[in-house]
Amino acid sequence: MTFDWLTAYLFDQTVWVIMAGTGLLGLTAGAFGAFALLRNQGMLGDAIAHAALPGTVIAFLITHSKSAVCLCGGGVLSALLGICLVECIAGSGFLKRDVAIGVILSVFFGIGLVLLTIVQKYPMQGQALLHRLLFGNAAMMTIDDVWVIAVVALILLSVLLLFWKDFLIVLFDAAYARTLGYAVFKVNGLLMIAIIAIVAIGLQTTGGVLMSTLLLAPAAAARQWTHNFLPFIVLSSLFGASCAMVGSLASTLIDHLPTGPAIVLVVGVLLVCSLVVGKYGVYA
Amino acid sequence: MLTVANLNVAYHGIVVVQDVSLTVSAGTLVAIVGPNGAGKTTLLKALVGLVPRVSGVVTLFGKPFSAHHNLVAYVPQRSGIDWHFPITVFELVLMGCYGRLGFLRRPSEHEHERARNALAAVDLLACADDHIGSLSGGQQQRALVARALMQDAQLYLMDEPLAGVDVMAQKTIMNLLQQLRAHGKAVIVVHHQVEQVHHYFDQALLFNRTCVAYGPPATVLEPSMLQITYCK
Amino acid sequence: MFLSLYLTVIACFTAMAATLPGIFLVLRGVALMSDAISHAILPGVVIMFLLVQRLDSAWLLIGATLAGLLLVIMTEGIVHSRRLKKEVAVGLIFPFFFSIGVILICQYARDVHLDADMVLLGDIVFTPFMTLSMGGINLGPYALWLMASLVLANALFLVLFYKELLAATFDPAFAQLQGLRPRLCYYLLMGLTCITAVAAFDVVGSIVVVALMIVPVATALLLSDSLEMVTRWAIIIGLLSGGGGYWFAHFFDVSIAGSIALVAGSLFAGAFIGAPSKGLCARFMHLYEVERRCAGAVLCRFLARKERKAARLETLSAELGWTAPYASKVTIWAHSRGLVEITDRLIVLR
Repeated sequence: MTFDWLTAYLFDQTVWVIMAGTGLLGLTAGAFGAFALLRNQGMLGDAIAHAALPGTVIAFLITHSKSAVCLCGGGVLSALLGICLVECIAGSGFLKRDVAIGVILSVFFGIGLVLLTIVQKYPMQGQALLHRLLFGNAAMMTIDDVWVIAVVALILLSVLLLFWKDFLIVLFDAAYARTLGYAVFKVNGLLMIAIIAIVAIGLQTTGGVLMSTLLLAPAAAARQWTHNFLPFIVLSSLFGASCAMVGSLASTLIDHLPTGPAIVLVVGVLLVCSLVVGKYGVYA
Repeated sequence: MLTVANLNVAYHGIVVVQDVSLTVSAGTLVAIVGPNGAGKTTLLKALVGLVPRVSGVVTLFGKPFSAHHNLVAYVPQRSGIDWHFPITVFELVLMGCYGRLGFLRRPSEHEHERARNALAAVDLLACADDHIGSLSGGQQQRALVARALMQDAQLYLMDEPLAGVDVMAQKTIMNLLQQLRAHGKAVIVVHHQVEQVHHYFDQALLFNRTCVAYGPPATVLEPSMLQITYCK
Repeated sequence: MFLSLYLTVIACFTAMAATLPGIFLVLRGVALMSDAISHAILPGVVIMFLLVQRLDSAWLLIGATLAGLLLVIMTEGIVHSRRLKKEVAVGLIFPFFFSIGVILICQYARDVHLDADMVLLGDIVFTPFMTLSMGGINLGPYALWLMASLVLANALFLVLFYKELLAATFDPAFAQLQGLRPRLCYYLLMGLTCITAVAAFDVVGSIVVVALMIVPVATALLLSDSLEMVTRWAIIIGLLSGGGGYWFAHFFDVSIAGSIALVAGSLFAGAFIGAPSKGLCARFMHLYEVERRCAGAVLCRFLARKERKAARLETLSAELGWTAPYASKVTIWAHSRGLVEITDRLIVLR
């Protein structure tokens, strides 16, 4: 009898849709998260998630459409502007990078809140929009959403396959890369755009808190198991994908367990285990 | 081979490299000697274009420096590297060929072979698959030199390659530099120990914000000259 | 009228209460801990709510503070283990806390007006109506008293522990040797931050609390160099953000919390561009002047080495590596300063 119940879930298309969608997000976020970790920018995912809000709301105001692509585009532009401003502020030398991130993150979010109250004057729900951005509604993921995620993930992973050695050298030793003739600014820019894109696309479906975790935590866990570069990237992606799928599955099996937080918890357990028993963890 | 004319570098309005003009021919080992904070690192960085210049014309084989990325290899100070980065010694050395490969192409078996040869030349082949964080100071320095060797350049610029390095590693590196000279390359080295310059180098540049003296060590490293350089 | 006054005062008090601990958070390099704490307090609030079953209990504040302190301890632990760097550790743990909080709400507190939205967004508008009564006398808005006490508490903490905080921020090792207990100060500071974050999230929501903790201090750092001036400026800008934010929202009928962050951000932008010595404009002008002076000095030394101390413009380009337009600009600058004379296409040193 229990098998009937289990097979009912396993053959339910929605379950597979959600697992595919979150799995792809986890895979790509894990891969790029490895690079984000190597840049030592801890709050990057969080900053992107908060900075994307005003752009998303503006896109909604202009187009009156809640399509994922459209809102995501607005979010990407807004987050890109935010990250550029962070670089400007930190680059001035008078304020440290974490202060710059804090300023942009909170001010952009505040601007987003102001814009949202304008949206609420329309007969469409602004509150629901914000709620979706913060927590996502992965449980409502449709096959269309998954196609969008799949296309974006494919593009971004191709970028990774083509440019991984360039990202590597620019992250490791930017000055040396410049002497080799690398346009360090362009390579860094490409990496940042890729990271922003994956966080922005994930915002729509799984929310900001989850994306910032998926960006960093699988990579942090993978770091405890290997010192080699390519295995690190691969392991980080696999961790991201598997945690996302396990979390989604758990969320469908257990009542009142929202998808985003479930995935976060699974990643958390993995991270703690890795820190404790990992090959290069605390008890190594 | 390398011609520098009227090179000036300033940092926030303070001149750190002033009116430097010199020529370095092929097959020469040059040591830059001077006190701490004299601008020796800045001079090297200005030559490779890592810091902006107020003025100056730098040519390599008669053409502007920026046209010749492939012919110049730069070895930075060890302290500027993140030794916790998850790469092996082999991967570090392999990076030296990335400039020639450009975007989209990945290192082939040929490059892998060259990397192994470079590691063998600095006596690090046994550590090829180790994490870079496990290297000692001397090994780290040798790994950076091996990376530069990968570039197969004509001009090598090295910032304090012998600082904090044990005697055996120093000998290995200096032998390597002399082999480079024998092959017609030019090597400019920021060196901190004046006594060794006589033994190893063809030319010495006494530097303290500007060129105090430039020429063979015997003539340049005279007590009066050293006094001027170090006691400014 | 009274309503507007109440709201303005509450907004100002909230801004002040948040800015005060923010000063040392920013200076210590843990500015983003405020963001982490404001998310991490959720499970503490929820667990306490589940225990006392009341939304207006002080236990919620205590629960939140405990959760926040737990976060701080765990972050310190990870940094101490040296497996991950500080910048990474700060952003790593709070999502788990937050998620536990959201899950607990979904499982056990679905029908209550306690949701994560409230934590993040707050709602100042209702605060004047929740009044404090003691002995049957209505003393006015609860939030007003809470915020006023917080301002007092934070200010008192800063005044009493000023030299300990100062020493611990700039050189914890030195402070330890001097017996100033930097770790204790750090945890007290973090505890106050947690309490402030919880109290303020009811008013403005946690993200805007972060804005109030970081942005006025960042603005003040652009305007002055001494700690005393930074503190004064931070308080002034905090007050302006709170009050100005409320009136902006009132005028345009938009979110009050968002407006506070917006005004704070605008003040920051203004300082970033226009501050006397650190602003963009001042720096550009300074750099321009400095760069011209350097180039002019190079020009003079170059001419001094030439025969007859003169050279043509083309020679400058060729031998100094300057483009023709740049060489002309430097020459004109040097001429305007009386350093060279320009006669018949020749530039001559005076």
